[in-house]
Amino acid sequence: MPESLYIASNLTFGYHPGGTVLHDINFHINQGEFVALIGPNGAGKSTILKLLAGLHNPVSGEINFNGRSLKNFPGRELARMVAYLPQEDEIHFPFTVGEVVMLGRWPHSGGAFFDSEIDQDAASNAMRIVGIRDWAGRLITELSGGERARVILAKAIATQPLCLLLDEPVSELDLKNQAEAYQLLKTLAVNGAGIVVVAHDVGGVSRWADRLVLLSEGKIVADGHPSDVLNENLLAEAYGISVKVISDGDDKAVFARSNGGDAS
Amino acid sequence: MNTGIRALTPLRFWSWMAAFVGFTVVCVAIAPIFGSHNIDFLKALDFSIPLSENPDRSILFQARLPRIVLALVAGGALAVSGASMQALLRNPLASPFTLGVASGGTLGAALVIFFGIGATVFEVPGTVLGAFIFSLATLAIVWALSNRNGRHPTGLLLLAGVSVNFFFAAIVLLLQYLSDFEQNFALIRWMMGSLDTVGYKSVWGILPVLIIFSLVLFVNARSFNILALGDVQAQTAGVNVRKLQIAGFIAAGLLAGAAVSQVGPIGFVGLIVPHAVRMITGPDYRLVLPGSLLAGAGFLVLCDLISRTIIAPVELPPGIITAMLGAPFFLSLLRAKAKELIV
Repeated sequence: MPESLYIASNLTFGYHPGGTVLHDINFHINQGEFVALIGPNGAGKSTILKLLAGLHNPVSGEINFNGRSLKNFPGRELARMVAYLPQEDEIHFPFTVGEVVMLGRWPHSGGAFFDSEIDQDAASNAMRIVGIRDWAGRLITELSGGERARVILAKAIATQPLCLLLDEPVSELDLKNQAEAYQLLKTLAVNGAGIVVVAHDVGGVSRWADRLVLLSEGKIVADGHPSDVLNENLLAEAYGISVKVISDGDDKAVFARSNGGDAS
Repeated sequence: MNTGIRALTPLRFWSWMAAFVGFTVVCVAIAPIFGSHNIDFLKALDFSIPLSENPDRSILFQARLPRIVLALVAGGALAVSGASMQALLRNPLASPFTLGVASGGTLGAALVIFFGIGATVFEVPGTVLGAFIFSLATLAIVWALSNRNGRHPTGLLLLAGVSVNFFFAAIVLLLQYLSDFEQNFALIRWMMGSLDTVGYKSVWGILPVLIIFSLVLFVNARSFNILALGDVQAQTAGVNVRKLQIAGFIAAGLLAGAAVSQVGPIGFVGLIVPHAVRMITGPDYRLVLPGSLLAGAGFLVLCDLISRTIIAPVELPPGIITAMLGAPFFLSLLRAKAKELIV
């Protein structure tokens, strides 16, 4: 039985009173597990990720991380163990790629002014893993959206976290880079990290994820192996449009039927 | 192992600091030589002649050197304040005056001049005191206006700052309209800025603030780097964004307020010096903040030297030179290295 990194129990959350986004949900994330959160817009996927990252506190219920309540983690201690990649990155001022990746070492710096050799090694290793070893001197402001996404991923890996939380990490990537990014996340999971991604490309992520969690209107509708969750009736109900799932071995594609709109 | 990563090692840091110190030292070394009166240095440094009979010595030690030191501390304070404002607001157009420090200071000075409050408090002139209090009060007003559920989004801060700037500028114009000729003249001279000083009183109005609050900013330099990734990334990296913002704005505000109250709203130093430093060192705030302090100090000494000599014996206000010298220099840098500046 693998160890649980996150255990969320009876989690309820809203950004303001009366506007509940998550209703009494329960789930867990194991070590070495690749979990994808799927579901329609506004279902609460990104909100879950923010709660796991400690950006908001639940209105009721509790999140446990690594055996302790998330509330009891000082920011920097959590930052050493969890890397969160928001949907939209912003980087102001022309840092080089190497400098941005080095920023991932900040939680480990312990207030030191200079960059240590350990920091440099970790950053350079992360760049090698993501395949951007030669980019160290490039300016982040000159990269394309897809290239930036890879730099941000390298920054997260440089932190050497126990868990990565990624909000739509492949939305800016082309087919090949999507597959490579997922492959990389899969490798990190195999090596023991917990991976949680929010994904809209339901079919694409199912090839790599160990588990899909389907959300709808702030509730978990299904939580299980991709082949179980990618059920036409379940998806149609959640997304509100009739859906066709086509399988080719491990690869799956999910289509919304163009004549649909009526799920029943 | 050469990773190609531009890491900040002690060697790289101190090499840059040595370069900036060198620039400032050169500026300081050449500045006292020139002036409307040519000093005989041998005579000035001849301590056997009594001071009352040695005009060269009194010009050097009572006028020119205090003035250079004042330009050093004021230029350093404005530049380091501007660099931290750019970091906090994540905006390359930010300057020490973006959040109203200069317009508030000007209003404070204008009120003192208009109502003829000639009083000095502990030998501090009324205009200095009025400008200092109003510059900080303005920052506090802008901070309060931009509050949204305890957070201060940079967009709101900028808009609140710009609006307050316009509002206060209008009040200053109204006071000017109602003022007599003499008051108007005094206010206009104040607004142009002046490094004219006798003795070190003005220097002491800036130096303690400069030392303490530059250090506050320097120790947070690495957090400022994380802030460039946005509030959310900074927060999940474990940076206490709110605490950093408050400490940063107080430090930047006090630095700019202290400088403005002593030398007037000398513009441009706080905008272009941080950018010039960033272009040569890269945007790492561990280099940009101390680099701006040193380069800003040297730059204002240089501008003051030009303002004293270009049409000697007439002295030009230093604010005119910083802008007239700074703008073309900056524009040429911008054309050459735009990609390393634009965010």
